[in-house]
Amino acid sequence: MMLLVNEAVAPKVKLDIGQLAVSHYDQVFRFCSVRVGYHHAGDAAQETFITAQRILPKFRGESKPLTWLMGIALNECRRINRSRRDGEPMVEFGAPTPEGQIVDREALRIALARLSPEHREVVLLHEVDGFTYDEIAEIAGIPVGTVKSRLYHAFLNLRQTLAPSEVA
Amino acid sequence: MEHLKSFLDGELDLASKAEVETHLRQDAELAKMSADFSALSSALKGVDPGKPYGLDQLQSRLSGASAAESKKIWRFAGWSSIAGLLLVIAMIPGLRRGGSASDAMYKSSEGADMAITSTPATSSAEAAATPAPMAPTGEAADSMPTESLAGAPSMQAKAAGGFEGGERERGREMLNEAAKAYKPTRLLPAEDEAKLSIGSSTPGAPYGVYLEKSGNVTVEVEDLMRAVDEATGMVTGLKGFVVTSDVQNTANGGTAHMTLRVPSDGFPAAMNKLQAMGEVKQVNSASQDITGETVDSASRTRSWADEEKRLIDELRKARNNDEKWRIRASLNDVRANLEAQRAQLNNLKERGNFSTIQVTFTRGASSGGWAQGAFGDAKNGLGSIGQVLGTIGIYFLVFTPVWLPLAIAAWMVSRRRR
Repeated sequence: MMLLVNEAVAPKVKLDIGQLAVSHYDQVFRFCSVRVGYHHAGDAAQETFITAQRILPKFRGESKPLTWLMGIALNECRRINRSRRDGEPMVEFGAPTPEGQIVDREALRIALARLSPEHREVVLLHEVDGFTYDEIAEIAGIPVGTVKSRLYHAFLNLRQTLAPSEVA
Repeated sequence: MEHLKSFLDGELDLASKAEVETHLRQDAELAKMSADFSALSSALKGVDPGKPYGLDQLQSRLSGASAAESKKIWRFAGWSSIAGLLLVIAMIPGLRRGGSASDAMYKSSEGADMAITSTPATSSAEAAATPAPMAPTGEAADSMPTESLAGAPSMQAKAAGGFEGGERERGREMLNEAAKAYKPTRLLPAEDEAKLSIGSSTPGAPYGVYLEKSGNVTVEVEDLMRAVDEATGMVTGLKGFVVTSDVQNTANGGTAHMTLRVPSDGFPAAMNKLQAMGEVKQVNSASQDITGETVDSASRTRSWADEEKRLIDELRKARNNDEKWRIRASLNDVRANLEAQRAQLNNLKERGNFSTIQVTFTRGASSGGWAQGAFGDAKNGLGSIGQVLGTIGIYFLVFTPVWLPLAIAAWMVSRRRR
């Protein structure tokens, strides 16, 4: 299924769902894995692309294809988490890095889980997924100022939860 | 210091950035917070989402979904085609009915022509056997007895001219004009005409149309004997009579068959009253046009009467016995024929003046009636569905040359797309 994307975003580029899947599947998978857990991430990522294929004709090209996909993925993760009995999964950390070792990872997981969903979301979008404030605003559908404010307060909460001894 | 996080993320403009840097240099607590934020940020980067899987599955799903979408479109197109075909099939009987209606109107118009022409046709029994003096080419003209225009020669000439062009409508109009202009001669002397007058004329028709009406009605009633009594009373009140009556009343139900004869004028009222006596199970009525038979019989009767009159005159003038015996023998034959014709005419008069109604009263069993009714209804419903499905199947079969090439083309296109 091909579609001409707005020139401001991708001039004279046809958006193909197959190519999108090849180029962005890993990012979407990781995005979903952080939110719904590794075991459900495959389903969430696949459903994201299936949904994207269905609504592709409605895509007006006003945003980047990746942020558009992440918006769909975010909704898909929320849907999956709503239907789960065991609630949202906690994030998993990989092998410790030299910088990361100064923070207790288990405590950080708990602190993240204690954040409000809105605060946790912006933290994940920025710190884990690496999106800029503008991109987060697009994906989450909130103003950039709100992104800044939520991010700051989320970090304050994390810092307070982890206590002085835990950080640094 | 809400800008601290934005500062650390590099999302501040130059002025705000300089301001934050100044604060950081002056405020140790803020500097500590900044360090903590940076440490948190670094720690969060260590989140491991795991190794992605499922791309192959996604790709097959995407192609499957695309095919499914395509299938969906074709399925929609297929169902739309079938719906369209069924619509066409459904419309065909309507169109045919529409055509039939117009045909019926046309035939009715032709029938009116026949009514117009048939009465004058009786003005002369011999004339019917004579060849037509003109050669009309239209269908209406074909069915027009020539004697109908015998009294209107000028109109006959006009009509002949009109029909030669095959203009049926124009011919019909001229025929009607001719019929209006035509003054029919009496078939019989006035008193005989009165004697022979039969039936009732249809209002609006130039000449009489004589109808024999009949009806058939089946009514379910609660009390058979009461229904029979009511029907008898009703018929008597309409100055009619009961021809036959057969009642079979049993504990489990029963039926009563009656043949009623009612004056034709009271036929609609009688049918309505019978239907109002219970639950109508079946009703139908019919009218038979006996105009032709009636006027023909009247004409023959008049001919035989004229012959009788002529023989009586000859008998009076007979000079010898042999001639008288010969005339008497002929007169006897003529009178026999005349009586037969009068009997036939009276019979026709009876048929025209009285209508026949066959009525059947039924009474269901007192117990289990509803179950039997439901069973009967269900059986009838099943039969109807079968009939409908059969009709659709026949149409489907007959329309095979229409839908089969389309279906094959659609299948080939969908296969090629795959």
